[in-house]
Amino acid sequence: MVVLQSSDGKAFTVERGVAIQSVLIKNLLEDIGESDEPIPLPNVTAKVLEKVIEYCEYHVDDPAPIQDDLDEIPKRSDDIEPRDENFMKVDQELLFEILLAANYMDIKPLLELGCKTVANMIRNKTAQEIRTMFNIVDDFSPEEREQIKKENEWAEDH
Amino acid sequence: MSFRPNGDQSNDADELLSLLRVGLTDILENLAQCQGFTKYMSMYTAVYNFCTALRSSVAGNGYYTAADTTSSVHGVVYGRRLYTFLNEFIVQFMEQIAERSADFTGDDLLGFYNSEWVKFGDSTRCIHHIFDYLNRHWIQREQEEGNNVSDVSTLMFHLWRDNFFMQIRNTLLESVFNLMTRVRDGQVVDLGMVKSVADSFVSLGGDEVGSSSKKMDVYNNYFLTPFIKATVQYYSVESERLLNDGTIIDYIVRVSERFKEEDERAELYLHESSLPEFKQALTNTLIGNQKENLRAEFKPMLEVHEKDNLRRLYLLLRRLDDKDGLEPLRAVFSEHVKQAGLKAVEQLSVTAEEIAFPTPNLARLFVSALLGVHGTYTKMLHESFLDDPGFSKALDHACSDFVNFNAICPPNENKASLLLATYCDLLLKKGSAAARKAGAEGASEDDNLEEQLTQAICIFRYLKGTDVFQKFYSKGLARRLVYEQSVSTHGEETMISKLKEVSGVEFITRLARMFNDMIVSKDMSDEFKSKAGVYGEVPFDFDMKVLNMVSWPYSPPDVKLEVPPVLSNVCEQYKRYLDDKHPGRKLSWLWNIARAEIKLFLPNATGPAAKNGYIFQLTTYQLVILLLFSAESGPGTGYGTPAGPTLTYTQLLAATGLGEDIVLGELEIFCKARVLNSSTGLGSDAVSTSASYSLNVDFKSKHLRVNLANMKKSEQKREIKDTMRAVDDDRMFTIQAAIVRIMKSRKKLSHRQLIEETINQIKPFQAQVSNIKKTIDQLIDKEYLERDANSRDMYNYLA
Repeated sequence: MVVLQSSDGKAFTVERGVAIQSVLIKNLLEDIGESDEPIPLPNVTAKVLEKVIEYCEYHVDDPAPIQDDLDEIPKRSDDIEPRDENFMKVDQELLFEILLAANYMDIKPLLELGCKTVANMIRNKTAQEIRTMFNIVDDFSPEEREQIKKENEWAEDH
Repeated sequence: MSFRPNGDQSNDADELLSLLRVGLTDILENLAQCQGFTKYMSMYTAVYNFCTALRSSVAGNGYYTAADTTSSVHGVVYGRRLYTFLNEFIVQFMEQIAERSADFTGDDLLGFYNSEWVKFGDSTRCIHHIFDYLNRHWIQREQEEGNNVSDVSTLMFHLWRDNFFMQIRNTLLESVFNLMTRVRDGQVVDLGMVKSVADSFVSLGGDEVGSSSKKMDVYNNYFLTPFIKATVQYYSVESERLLNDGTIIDYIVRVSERFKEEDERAELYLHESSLPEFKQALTNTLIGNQKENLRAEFKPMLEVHEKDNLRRLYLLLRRLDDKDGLEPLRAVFSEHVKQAGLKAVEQLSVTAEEIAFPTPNLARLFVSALLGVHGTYTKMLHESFLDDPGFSKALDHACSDFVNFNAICPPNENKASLLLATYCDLLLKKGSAAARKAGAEGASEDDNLEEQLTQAICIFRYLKGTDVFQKFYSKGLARRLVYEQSVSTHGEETMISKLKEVSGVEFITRLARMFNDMIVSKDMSDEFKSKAGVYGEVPFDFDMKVLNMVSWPYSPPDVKLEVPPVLSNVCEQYKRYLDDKHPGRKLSWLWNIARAEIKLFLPNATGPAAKNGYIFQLTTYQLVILLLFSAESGPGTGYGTPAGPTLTYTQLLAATGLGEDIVLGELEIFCKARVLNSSTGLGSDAVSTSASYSLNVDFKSKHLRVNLANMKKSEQKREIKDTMRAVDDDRMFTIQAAIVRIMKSRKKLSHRQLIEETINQIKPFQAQVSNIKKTIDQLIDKEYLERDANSRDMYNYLA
């Protein structure tokens, strides 16, 4: 068993197989050796860590992805399993915190799942809708906006 | 900025770097003791924060932007800053190591280098992981853009190489060579040190661009090349000294040991990719430069069969190119074996008469001489040349030469085939056990038959002209079957299946059919006897064998024979039986093959002979003649007297119906055996056309059983001649068939091409050009072919 400790001091005891889906944890255990000592994760709060562990427990038996396949096959965002889709039905702030934690802890499938979820959120939305959704200020000048429009003409519907 | 652990946000870059500086020092200096999860995580997090916090601080007041893009100028700046920091830090550390290493030389330097190398390797792995965020993001992006940046562990090994290793490598190598010299001089040292140094050279080769040849550059250039050079130098000196101090044999023995040692050691410490180059250099030094001297030793060694030295020499020269090393040896070996074979045959004491018409005894001596030579060199092939395929081929080549052509077997006579067939007959025939035993010294007969047959087949494989063997073998087999002389059915079957293995099913088809005829004949004989009610009783014991004409090497004799009624009755009975069973079959009587046994009671006999009579084994012709002397009435005078009749030659001719040659021949046998008395005296005078003959009532023999049916010498000679002639006829026919086949498909061919193709197409014997020419002429006469009108050298096929 491995003990993971959140930034706010909460300890989670999980199976080794669950923990090492994080490449960070996997390397750390290899480099230092296993012990009962808790592993501090100063960049992850208990709320987020709980979700991350939930994900890793779901996927503890997934076969390791083959690197070549990952590079070869074009990425798509409509192949999310229903269970993962449900798992990602969280408020926007938590979603982004999960994304950051996946990046920090180096859990590639979770990072990918998060990115696909965000991609699905912005699909079929106008630039203005997206700005509103993510609270982004439009700071383009009119000239810049014209330039961008020109460059992306090919993608417009006619 | 929404997500950033409290506190870290305000850390500026310098603070993070100083945290890393302390951590790195601990890891590099004492990895084992300084690690805990907390420290590890704080360093990892510091790297992460350094790369992300500084970037996101400029990302405006939104969320962490999804713009994790290459255009993030600040991310690039801080990534590079961290990378540069690590680079400089490690450079400093390497300088310290280099400084410390200056205190060491020789084995101590090797020890220092190895222990630092091991430590550095462990630390590097750990640091690589701690800086993994840098690897995954900034470094990967830089590499994708084609910038010259290495991942953390590669970077660290490069720094080791450039800032430490390059400075001490010459001293380091000197220490290695020093150590190697001591090993080679026989001292016990720690070879593990050489291995670690060599391994470190391999690891340092992970070059900027990862082509695999470049990967070994450091090892090849800075380790392997000087290492080989030092090795060559050492052994050049040793090689010269050995040659000055001792014989070539001593040299071979010593160098063989050296190779064994060096091979073992090289496996231990050299990278496997460099083994061939190293071994090649060693080979050139110790063998290549001496190859003529070494090869010159081969023949003397062969002559005295020094199997250990031969093996040593073989193993040494095997290291060279085939052309320089073994190829010349194989030629010498082949010639040596050939000469040994020729000599073995030459040493057999034989008369010209025996060579012309070989006896079974000569066959035995001949085959056992061949086997002796073959066995000796097969053993040598195995023991000294490790069954090398090239040597095996050389041996076969030599055997094929001396088996077919030698003092007893002149070219184009296929005498070896005849001799081997005779030998097989000897093995498989009842009553030649003594001969067999002499062939296989000291082993029991039963165990050995199969082994001996295997040996016979071994010679058979070398035979040229297996068609001759087949002819004679089938003669022998026919005789063994008809006269029931086979030593065992199992033995016969074994031999047939071995022949089939070597020469294919076609080769043995006729032989196999002969076996079948024997089985069928036995059944029919039994059935005939059981049907005495239908076909009549037979007043004596008999056995009929029905042979299929096409399978057997027999043809009905061209003689007239007055068959005595006692025999002709039985023949008639059997013919009726056979006609009923297989209507329409043509039946001819092979009188010349048949044998008879009769009991002869002589009036003047004494002892057991008086009581039981003499048993005579006779040919049919002898039987017919002898029966005349016991008949109740006949052409001569004296019937009814105890001495029996006296018959003139003319009377005998008339009564038997046989030709003069046969009658004279048989009379000679009877007179010589003193069974008949002649009116003209004894010995060479006995047989003449003017004499008259009567039974010798005083006949005496030590044995009650007298065999007069043995083949006469003259008959044996004739059989050999006839068979040879039959082979020649068959060959001409084969050549003819081949030519017709070729011309039918090619329509038009030049003389030279036709001859070539004919030779190539004919398998069991080598067709002679003169015979092919003769056949071509015959075919032109028969209008199968014609000479081309325009070119005399061309033949056309005439359909």
